Amino acid sequence: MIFQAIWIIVLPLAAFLIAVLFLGLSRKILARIQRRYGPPIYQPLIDVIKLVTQEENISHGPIFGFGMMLALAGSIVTVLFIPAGGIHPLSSSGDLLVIIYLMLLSPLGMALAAGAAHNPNASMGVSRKFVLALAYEVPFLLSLLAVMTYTKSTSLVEIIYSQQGSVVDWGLLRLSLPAIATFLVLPVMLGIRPFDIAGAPQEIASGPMVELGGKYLALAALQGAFHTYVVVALYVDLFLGGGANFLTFFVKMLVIFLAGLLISAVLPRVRIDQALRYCLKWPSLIALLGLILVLLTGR
Amino acid sequence: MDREEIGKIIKSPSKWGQKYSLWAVYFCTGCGIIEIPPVLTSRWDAERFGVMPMATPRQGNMFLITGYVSMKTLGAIIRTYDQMLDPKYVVGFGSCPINGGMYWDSYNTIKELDKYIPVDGWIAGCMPRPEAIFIAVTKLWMMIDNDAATGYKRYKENYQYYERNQREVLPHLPKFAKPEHAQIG
Amino acid sequence: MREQDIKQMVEANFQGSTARVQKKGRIIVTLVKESAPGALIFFKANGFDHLSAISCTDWLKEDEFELVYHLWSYTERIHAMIKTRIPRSSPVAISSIPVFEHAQTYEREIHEMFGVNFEGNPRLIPMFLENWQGPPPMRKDFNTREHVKNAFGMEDNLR
Repeated sequence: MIFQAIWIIVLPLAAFLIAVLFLGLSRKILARIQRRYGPPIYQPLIDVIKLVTQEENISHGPIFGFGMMLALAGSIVTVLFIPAGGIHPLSSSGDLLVIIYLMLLSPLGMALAAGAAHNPNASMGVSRKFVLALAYEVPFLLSLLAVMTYTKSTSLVEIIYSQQGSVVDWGLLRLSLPAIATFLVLPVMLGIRPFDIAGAPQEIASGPMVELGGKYLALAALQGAFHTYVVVALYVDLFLGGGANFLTFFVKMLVIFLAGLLISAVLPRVRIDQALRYCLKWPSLIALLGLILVLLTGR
Repeated sequence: MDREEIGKIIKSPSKWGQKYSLWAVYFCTGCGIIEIPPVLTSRWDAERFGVMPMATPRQGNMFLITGYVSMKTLGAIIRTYDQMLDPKYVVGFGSCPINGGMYWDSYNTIKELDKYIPVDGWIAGCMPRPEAIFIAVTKLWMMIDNDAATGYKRYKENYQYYERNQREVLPHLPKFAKPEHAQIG
Repeated sequence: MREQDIKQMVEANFQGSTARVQKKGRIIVTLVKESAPGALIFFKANGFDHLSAISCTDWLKEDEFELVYHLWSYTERIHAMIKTRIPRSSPVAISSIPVFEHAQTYEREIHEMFGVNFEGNPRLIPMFLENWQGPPPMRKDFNTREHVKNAFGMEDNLR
């Protein structure tokens, strides 16, 4: 009991540190790919300190701050449900379904804040964000169905447990079609190029974040970082065996994160209708095929 | 980072944050904006200074007035400056904001930007080279360290002076309209 | 040569007009101001379906404004300049919107900068100048330095 309480406090902190490290690493690696030096790795810390010390000069109403806090709280709670290399304070049977629901809490919070902002750019960004969520849910849920049918459980701990053994037992190799489908929509879930349509600075003036300044922007940045952690950790737990201890878990997360980063470094942004068509075409077909294979043959 | 730097960080972390994370509002006010894309891209990398372009004024804390300011642009600049969050810094690029520059006898450009919004620093040139822009950023850091970049405080303390000048050239700005017709932000 | 054909057609159809072929691909037609709308329709029917611009020149000593319509023909690659003169004291011209719809913007600019009234243009509102109370600024008798001294309080440039 005591251990559980300690982990409930420590795990979000660890996730926070990893998330901020990923933010800093992404800017540095992106810069090096573009043949320039880039900011130091602790730049997100400087940014957050600056944002927190800025003073607001206008109030958008109480729902504005409430929406942002709801978004951040949704992401932090989701972190508690995802096992991180042996640490799983709140897991139980059925927690995969809980995670799917909780992952939609943060766009909802952003939508509340954007609605209170009275800015047409914010509304456009929110509508695009929800269209993207709709788009990636189809192949993602089909892959999850395949995984749940194969392991005959909806608990992430049991899914990880069934992948113990060696590399051959990983979901990547046994359930390759759902793994490939989820990897194809990983950029959409993370909200990185080529699918960072919802928060595009050039097209819709940062979308839902157009009226966020100061501490609200800090909350939004943290929420984005937590969301990255949640998605990458989910992929590692479902298809890469989870990790026997925190260190191997972190290394696997780093590999997946770098793969996503390298993809986003070289691709341009697509339009929202292209993103919708992309998600509903090949990833959905591959996930459906994987699901049918699992149902028919049990492998 | 040397030991002096760490001492400064511990004494005032907020100044450390404001110095090394100057987010520029990407509002292209005049012809001088042509010098900003080279500064932001790979050859003269501005991101290692912490300078990033931001799409909206609510997220930026540095405003670069690049080039001449016509009357219409002045209205937009005042509205943008009023929307930014404190502390905010304004840097005038080129000779046009200083004294009118090339357009010193034009009927449609303002001659002294300092009368309408407070300016923290000027960069001479038409247009300044990227190296000059980086020297300006480092000078702005030194000014922030010495509490000399107080444009936003001057604006709030002497608001009557600035408002009078703004009203003189642009009496039809929405912020001077009656309160029930004024817009948010 | 096509330019010579056009020159002869213009001089045959429009009274008091002169046409000059400046070089290959460029014709300058000078008309009286009443012929301007008809000339635009004539040129549009003969392949000049692109109005590039309408410009205005202030002839201070002759007390006239000169309106120039720049037309371009894609098929023959000829640039035709149609020049008309209107009196400076009461500058009124007929709008070319029925012939070329986008002439509305050019006429709006000439109205704002020179003070020429285009009859038939529904949108002669200010485009560039904010809160302008002086005379039209592009006229040659507008003293910009005087205006700058009054409006902005600037001294003479020390250069």
